[in-house]
Amino acid sequence: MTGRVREWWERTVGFIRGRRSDPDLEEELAAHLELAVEDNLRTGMSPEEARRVAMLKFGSRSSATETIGDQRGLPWLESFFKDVGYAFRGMRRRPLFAGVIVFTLALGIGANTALFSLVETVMMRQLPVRDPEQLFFLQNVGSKGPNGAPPYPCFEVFREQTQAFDGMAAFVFDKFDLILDGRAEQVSGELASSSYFQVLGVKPALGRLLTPADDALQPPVAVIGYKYWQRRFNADPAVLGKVITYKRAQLTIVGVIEEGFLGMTPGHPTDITLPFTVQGPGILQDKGNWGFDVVARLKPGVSIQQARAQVDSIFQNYMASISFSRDRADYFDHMEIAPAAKGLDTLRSEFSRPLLVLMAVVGLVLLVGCANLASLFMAHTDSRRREFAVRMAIGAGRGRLLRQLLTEILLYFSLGAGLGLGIAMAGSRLITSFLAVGRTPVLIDSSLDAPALAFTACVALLTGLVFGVLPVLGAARSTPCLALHGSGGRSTEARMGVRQLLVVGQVAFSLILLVGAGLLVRTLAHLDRLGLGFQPERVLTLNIAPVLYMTPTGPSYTEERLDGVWAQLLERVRSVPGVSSAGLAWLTPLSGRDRGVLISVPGGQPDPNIGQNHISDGYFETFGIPVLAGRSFTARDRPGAARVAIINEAAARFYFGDRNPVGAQVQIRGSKRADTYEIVGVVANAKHLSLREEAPRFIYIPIVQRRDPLRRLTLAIKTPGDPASLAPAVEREVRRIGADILVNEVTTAKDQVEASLLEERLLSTISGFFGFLALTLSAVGMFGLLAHFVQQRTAEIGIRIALGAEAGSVVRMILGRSLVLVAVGIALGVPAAVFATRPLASLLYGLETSDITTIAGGVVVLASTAMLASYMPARRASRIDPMTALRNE
Amino acid sequence: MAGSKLDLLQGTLDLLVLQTLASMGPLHGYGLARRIEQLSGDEVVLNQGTIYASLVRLQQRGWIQAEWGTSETNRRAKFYSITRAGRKQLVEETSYWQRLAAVVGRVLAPSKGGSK
Repeated sequence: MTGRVREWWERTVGFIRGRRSDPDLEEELAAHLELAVEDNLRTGMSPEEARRVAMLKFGSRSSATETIGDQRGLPWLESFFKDVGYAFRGMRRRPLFAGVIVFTLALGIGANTALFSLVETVMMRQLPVRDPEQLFFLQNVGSKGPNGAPPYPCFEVFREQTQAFDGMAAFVFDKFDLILDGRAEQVSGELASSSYFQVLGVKPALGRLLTPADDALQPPVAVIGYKYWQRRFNADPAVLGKVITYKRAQLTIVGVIEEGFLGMTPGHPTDITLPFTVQGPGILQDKGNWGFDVVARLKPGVSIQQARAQVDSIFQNYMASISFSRDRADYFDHMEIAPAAKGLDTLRSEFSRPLLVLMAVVGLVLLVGCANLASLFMAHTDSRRREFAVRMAIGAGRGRLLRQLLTEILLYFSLGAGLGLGIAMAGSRLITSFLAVGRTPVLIDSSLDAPALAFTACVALLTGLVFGVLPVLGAARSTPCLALHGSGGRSTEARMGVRQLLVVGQVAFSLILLVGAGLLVRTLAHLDRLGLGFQPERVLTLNIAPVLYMTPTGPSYTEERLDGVWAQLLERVRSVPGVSSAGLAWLTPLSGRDRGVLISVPGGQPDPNIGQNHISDGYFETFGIPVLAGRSFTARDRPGAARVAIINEAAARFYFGDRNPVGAQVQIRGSKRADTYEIVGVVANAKHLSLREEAPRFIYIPIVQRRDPLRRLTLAIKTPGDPASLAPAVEREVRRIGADILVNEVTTAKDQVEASLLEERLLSTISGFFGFLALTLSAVGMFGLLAHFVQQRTAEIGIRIALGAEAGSVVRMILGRSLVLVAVGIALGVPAAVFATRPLASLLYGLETSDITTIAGGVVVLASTAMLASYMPARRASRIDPMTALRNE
Repeated sequence: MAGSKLDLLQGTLDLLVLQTLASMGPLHGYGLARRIEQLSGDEVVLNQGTIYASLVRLQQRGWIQAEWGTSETNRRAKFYSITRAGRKQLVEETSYWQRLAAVVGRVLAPSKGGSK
């Protein structure tokens, strides 16, 4: 073996040293011939004969030197480097061609990789737990779809009496207001039954995780997530033993969860996991708490049907025991077993729709791009047929030519793929940052998916190879003589036909993209123009939550104390410089929060459903919601004073028609009691949950006359200046009232309006960008085709001009050709667009999928761009000098 | 095929060169080529020029070494001789070759001998 190693070493050295003439070898070969001649002379040949035979037996001297040279170096590497150098020179000679190819490849690969990676993360990634495919959710299901799991007492029976599972655990995702180091802080996390980590097979990175003994809360413990540990505690191991105050409990941190596991809800990573029982001892006995999920590990060999049957019979018994009738068939009909390998599907259901639309968009762009690549490579190869023919005629092997062509394609491809990787990284970071805003940000890992990259790269590479190499194989087969004679005859015609088809396809696909993008962009424009019913400009909103927990002297914030906090808060904030008005509210527009109650109105409509908001004075002023009749709340509306309410226009019209509601008495009904309020005013409508929905009916009640305990409120502040810059001063004021008052979700009303249009803006931005891209690619495709056509027909056009054809008629001939292609493309594209955009229907606002204006707009834009792209080659054709053209033939 | 000369299989030329040098002692390129032709009873097609690539390869592997000397006709020529590593390699390759030839021969033999 050492022999081979030595050989490779010597050859590598020889390769680096390069080929050079070798006098030693020359002398040796010369001596060989002389020795042979001497030998032959001795057998009696004439001197000429002796030399002739000697040379004959030696064979070709140059080929001997060549093989020896090859043996002394690394010939394939040499020719590869030569090819790469040649390809680079070729690129420099054709910068436009090279640029378009690399750009197309980069965008096609980049955009698709970014999107596929995102789709993989959101739709396909399994939880980082032991054997995730064995995990199943136990869900109660009704006609309205699946839900969480039944209450804890039923779960207990599942756990004890089923044989189908290797353990099961209950958990629920929530946000927790905590006191940590004396300050209020909100974290997201999970409450979990003690078996949770054991069932999932998740291990600690530090300390220990929850065990069954922890349910007793003696002492109460908590475990924290790896990222939270790093972010909040700088990965300090001393975090173990630290105490967190949550409600009544003093929780000791006993462990850090291993890296990677972020809870059961993808997109919403958990910072902390607490034992279920911290919610209070009652939760384990509460037969009416339907608020959590159950995950179970199916025993190997047990079928889902068997498991389902076991769980369902327990569930049916439980339901019979609690005499439960409301909505039974809708939500609580029977039990189902659903795969849990990917975790809860909130993220998937939230984003599957926009992601699928985007995937279709980038898929189409990839198609248009590949058509371009195909067409360009074919043209490229075509225009080099003569070169290849010449080289073959002087003895270049077909394999050698192919290898060179492959090298060229691979070079383009590597440049494009390298650039595409950059684009993919930037793109996926852009999209993830798009999603990571708003009140409940979606945090997903933006790392790229290697299979996705490999897939798109392969598609692009295959296109390059098929359309770049196949024509050359054809060229290689045809006799050099024919190719040298100029046009390759019929096969060139056939390739022209293929390229025309490609352009037609590009036009059709681009039209689909343009129409889709047009629909989404116009939807966003419609939504942007909608009246909100309030003025979001220069309004800052902050969520304020005095955290409730046990202090040595009793509960931190009793309801009575809260009233004082709210009053003090408003007073202090209103004195902050730059605050022109401030108000508190239970709900603010487009915050995502909602609350409905039942009211009865004398002589009112039968549907008693209405949204209920609790507000302070100054709220309407801050949000710029005009009072249309009666009055706004004032400081005189105190706890003991007459109960007053304000309704909005929608409610006034709905319940009172043309009558004046001011002065009317309405009754707000709750489960325990009904309260009567006098309507003292009517305000204008404001959008609430979504811009798309009509403003809902609303009743406003003063905070001090509240019906529910208000443990958190949103503080809204109007300022003549920049609202965001006001935030630190306001937060400082809040902290001065109490460090254990949580301040979070600090945002501007404007940003909340923006966040409510997140999906629409994401879709319209990306589809608009890609629509434009597809348009550009199609224009390039059209330009390339016609330029090549003109180049091939130079002689013919020259003759026409020589025979008296005018410049105008030549231009018309070329443009006519492109017009036909565009017309065919559009004729195919319009019905395709109408069909393909149909799934967008639910995303649109203010227009239908088959919107004539949008389709017509797409057609006009596409056709005029194509004409523009065709005009340049057409003009060049009209300027052909017949003499030059014919002389070149 | 019968009657025409034999094409050398890939790698066999190297083996023939090693064997010839082992049995004949140092030889120059021409002598080596003639020797192989004679030993094979002129059955081998050999462009004598191709022997030099083989000589370069064997030198690279350290199985033969070269030295300038004088031929019997007093002409300056490069003489090749087998090295110790070359002899070892020759033993290995010969036994390999014989096993291969035996197997190929057995497989190609008329079927009546196949069952033995």
